[in-house]
Amino acid sequence: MALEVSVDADKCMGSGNCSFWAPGAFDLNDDGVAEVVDLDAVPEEKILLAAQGCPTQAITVTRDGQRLAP
Amino acid sequence: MSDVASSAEPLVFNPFDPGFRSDPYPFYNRLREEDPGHVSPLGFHVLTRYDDCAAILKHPDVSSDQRNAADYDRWRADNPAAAAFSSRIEPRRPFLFMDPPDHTRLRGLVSKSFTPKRVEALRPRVQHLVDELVDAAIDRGSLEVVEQLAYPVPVVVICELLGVPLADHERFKGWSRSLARSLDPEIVLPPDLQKERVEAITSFHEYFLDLIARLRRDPGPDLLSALVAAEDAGDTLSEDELLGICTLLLIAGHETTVNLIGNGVLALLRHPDQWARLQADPSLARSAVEEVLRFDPPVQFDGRVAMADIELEHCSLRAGEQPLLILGAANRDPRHFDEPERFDIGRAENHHLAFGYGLHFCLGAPLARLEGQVALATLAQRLPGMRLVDEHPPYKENVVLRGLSELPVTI
Repeated sequence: MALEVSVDADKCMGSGNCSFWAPGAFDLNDDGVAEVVDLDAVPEEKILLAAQGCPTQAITVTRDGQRLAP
Repeated sequence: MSDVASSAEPLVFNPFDPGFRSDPYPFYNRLREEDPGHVSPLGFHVLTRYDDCAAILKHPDVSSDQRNAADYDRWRADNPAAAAFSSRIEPRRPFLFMDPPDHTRLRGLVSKSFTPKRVEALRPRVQHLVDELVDAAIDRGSLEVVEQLAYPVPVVVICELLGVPLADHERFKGWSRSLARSLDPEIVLPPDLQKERVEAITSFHEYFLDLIARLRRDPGPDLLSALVAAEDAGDTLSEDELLGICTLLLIAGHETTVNLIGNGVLALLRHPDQWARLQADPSLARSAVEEVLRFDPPVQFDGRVAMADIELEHCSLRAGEQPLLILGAANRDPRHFDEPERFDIGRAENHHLAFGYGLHFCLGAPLARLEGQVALATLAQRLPGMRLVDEHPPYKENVVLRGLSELPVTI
């Protein structure tokens, strides 16, 4: 099963940490809010690192309905 | 606690001890392992564990506005000099010391200028600056890392980004330095410094009022011109708020990344194996900067006001209390980092707290990362023979900000 990843735009404060830990998978849009771009751009562990490194826990990662982060 | 009683020396948190300044980490380790809910002689809690610091920084019931502290009024009454300073700065409070919704609104006005994408576009400029400074060092045959590299790089970049003429730099350099020291607790600031910082903040505000008037007449492509336009456009930003933003960004650009680069060069030269690793593989600059931030963070302390009673594993905070968070101690918590005393520039998982956590996570983090990466990678490539002149270089007197006053090296 692939990872399911979502960003809560209301929680995101634009730190850019996700695109630092998983470049290509996440990026900040012109409003400075994180978005999922391409989850295949990096290995899965980087996606998890990005979610764990989010300062406001705005990124949720699940697989098969099971929450992996935060 | 019994562990403390059994230790050789009593644990007294005194960050002003000169021995502490040169290497605070053994003391942090004791505090974190022996007394994680430490109460300082002045009565505030000192938190040193990663989970406790992170819990406070992301807690919904904390404030970054010191005026919410239970003892704020008493503190003002007891410290007239400090109260004079805070009266001067309060109407023009930077958003660093604000809570939502004002913090959200004001930070939102500038955050777009600091996104990773916008910052990445500055890379060629940063590389050019670093190369010029390294060229000059090679011509001279010597390098004092702080004054001749670590300081000018972020200063030039923040001035250009903001739209502050670099020619004015000599005027505000001293003001920035006094205000950086004023992050430190009042108790350690000598009277002349108390007076100096009132003058510094007043001069800064006058300087920026004048600059804002000039940019209003003759706007440029810079951030300040955009903010002036935002102020003119309506009710999103007042002039006082704009002044708060100007001083915050300029000072943050002057007093933090300089320490990241300085502390980074020191750590690398003290660990020749890691210095050689970076030379062999410049792509390690990315993780090397994160490791410097973890190992010896430029911002050592942070603080919050508890707005409700908060229970942590090792201490109970009452509403109105102001715990001190020692980020430099949390960053070496063995519960969170494997072999935390080891300086490892290839560390893969490195969620250090050097940029803070939660809503106030460092706005300038992408810029600091870029500047640090370019500086360290370029030094490793172009000056691989760098050696420390002094194994124990001197530190600035600041307590909250940790950085060297000079770092001479042979090249």
